[in-house]
Amino acid sequence: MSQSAPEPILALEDVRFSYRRRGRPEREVLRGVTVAIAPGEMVALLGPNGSGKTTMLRLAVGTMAPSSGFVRLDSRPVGEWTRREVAQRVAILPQLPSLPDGFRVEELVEMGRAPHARSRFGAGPEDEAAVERALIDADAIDLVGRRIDELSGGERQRVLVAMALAQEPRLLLLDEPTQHLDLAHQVALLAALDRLRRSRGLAVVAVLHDPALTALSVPRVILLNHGRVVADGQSGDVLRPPTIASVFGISLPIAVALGGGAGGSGGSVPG
Amino acid sequence: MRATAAVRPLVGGPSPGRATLVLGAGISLLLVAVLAGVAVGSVEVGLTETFGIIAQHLGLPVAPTWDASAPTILFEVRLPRVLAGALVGAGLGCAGVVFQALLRNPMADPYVIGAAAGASLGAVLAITAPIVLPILAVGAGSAWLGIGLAQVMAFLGGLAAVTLVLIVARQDGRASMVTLLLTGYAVSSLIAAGVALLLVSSGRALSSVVGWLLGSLGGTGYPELAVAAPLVLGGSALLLLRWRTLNLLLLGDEAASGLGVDLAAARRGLVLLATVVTSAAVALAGTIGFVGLVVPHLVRLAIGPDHRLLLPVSCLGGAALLVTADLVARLVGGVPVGVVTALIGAPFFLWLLRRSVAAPTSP
Repeated sequence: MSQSAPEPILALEDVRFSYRRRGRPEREVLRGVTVAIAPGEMVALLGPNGSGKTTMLRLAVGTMAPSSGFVRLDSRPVGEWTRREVAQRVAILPQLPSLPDGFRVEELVEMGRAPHARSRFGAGPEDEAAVERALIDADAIDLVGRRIDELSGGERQRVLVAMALAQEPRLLLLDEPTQHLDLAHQVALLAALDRLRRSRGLAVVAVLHDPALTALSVPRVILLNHGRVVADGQSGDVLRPPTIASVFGISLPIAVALGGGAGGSGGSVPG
Repeated sequence: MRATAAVRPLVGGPSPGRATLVLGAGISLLLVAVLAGVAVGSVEVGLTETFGIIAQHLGLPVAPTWDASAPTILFEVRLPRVLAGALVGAGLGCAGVVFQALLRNPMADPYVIGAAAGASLGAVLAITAPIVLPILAVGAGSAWLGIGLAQVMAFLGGLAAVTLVLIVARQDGRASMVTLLLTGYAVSSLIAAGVALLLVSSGRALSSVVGWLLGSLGGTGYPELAVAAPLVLGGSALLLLRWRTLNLLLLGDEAASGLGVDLAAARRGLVLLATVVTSAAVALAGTIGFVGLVVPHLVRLAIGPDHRLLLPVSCLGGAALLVTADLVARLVGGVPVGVVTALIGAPFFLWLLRRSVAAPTSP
């Protein structure tokens, strides 16, 4: 991989965020986060519950604005893009999306084409191609024709990933994409994402919880705690038992397969 | 690459064949209902004669075989009433779909955020207190348009009540859909209390007000239709163009926003259009219940949740249902059409409730 640092697709500069509630003290969720994600990079976001992971993703797509600091998407403050322009660049897979009954798999995946829609009426051949590619890449092509409400949790998750891929984003944000997936599908999903970042140059940021799985599949890890980045670097360096113990407040003998299968390609841009 | 996708197209929504079939069925249903509505009544005209009268009206050389009063009955009495039924049913069906998607609530109907309550108050004010000065001004306008004061007041009342609900429900510049729903309920109750108070304090106009509240298509003329039709049809057409947004809203706020929907703007547009359609429908026929609730569910069960077909078919289905219900109401002997739709609607609502309790699902 090239050594010259490419322009980041996403950059957070000293970002702070507080939830304001009338008559209650502010709760500061992010306290000065600075992070840059390069195109084609795959990053895992780890941290305890309430450490600010989901908030960070929401700020990245501009559905919430930072209290201070800057969020730049594709070199421009995210608030200056329209929702549609953001959606042409970033796809986000929320933690708990609601799936309407009655739609078929391919109909749902086609909704991912919305930000690229040229006509008010239908879809074109490029939509067709994107939907098919997304279904194949997300290992969901064999689910075509089935109704969403008939799928298992894991199958739904694959369909949702396909929907996000159909959006053909340059940055893919996944909030706990491995939930509902069995171990084999977790590994398969992360491997598929790794292939995509290589083939499409897609940048991926995924909120994950399992340090072992992360170390196995993701080259770079950002560790959040209490709204601050406490570590950012190659997963082998970040995911050491003492760090895990201090951040999560537990001391489990974690069998982290350090240095094994992490893709090995550099891509770490320490804060 | 596997060749699975070569079997049939993956995208593009319903296939042209299926869309034609479904829309054709809807249009046929509506045409049958309209023909029946025009031909059947206390004075039997007959289907052949109905066709003859229509043909003659279109300038075709047809020898009249019918009673001299038949064309008048058809064109001046029944046709405006049938057209009003079709228009109101189409508007309520369409607005019902929109509110159910917007609020992501299967129990939502076009009246849920205050349009019906506001329209009732407007109409009741017009009937019971027409001497108040601002109402006099509106009265002059409505007289100029050649339509009833109650209708104009109902339309304005519907718009005003929804605007009030939107303002009250706003927090930090945006309203959550649950807040909107609950605010709509509370404001509707408040307005209903006001309507009841007006009714109690003025006994003389009671029966005409109650008739209006139950919903009736009688007494609608062409001037009213000419004003309401562009509002209902234009609004529905603009809603139809927003099918993609409606589909995306079903995915929830965060996903819809992530797919490029500007939530605040999209909701503003949808609420505004659906409220205009609803208020125009209510102004024309009073608060006819259950059409806006039942039709979207029936159509969804039949053809699925994709708004590309759901919206137009709900328009056609709502129109056909209301024309048929009005025919039944006339045949039974002057029962308000709202009573007929409630008689169909309430049992359906109960069934829906039992079904959603048995299998908890999203709309």
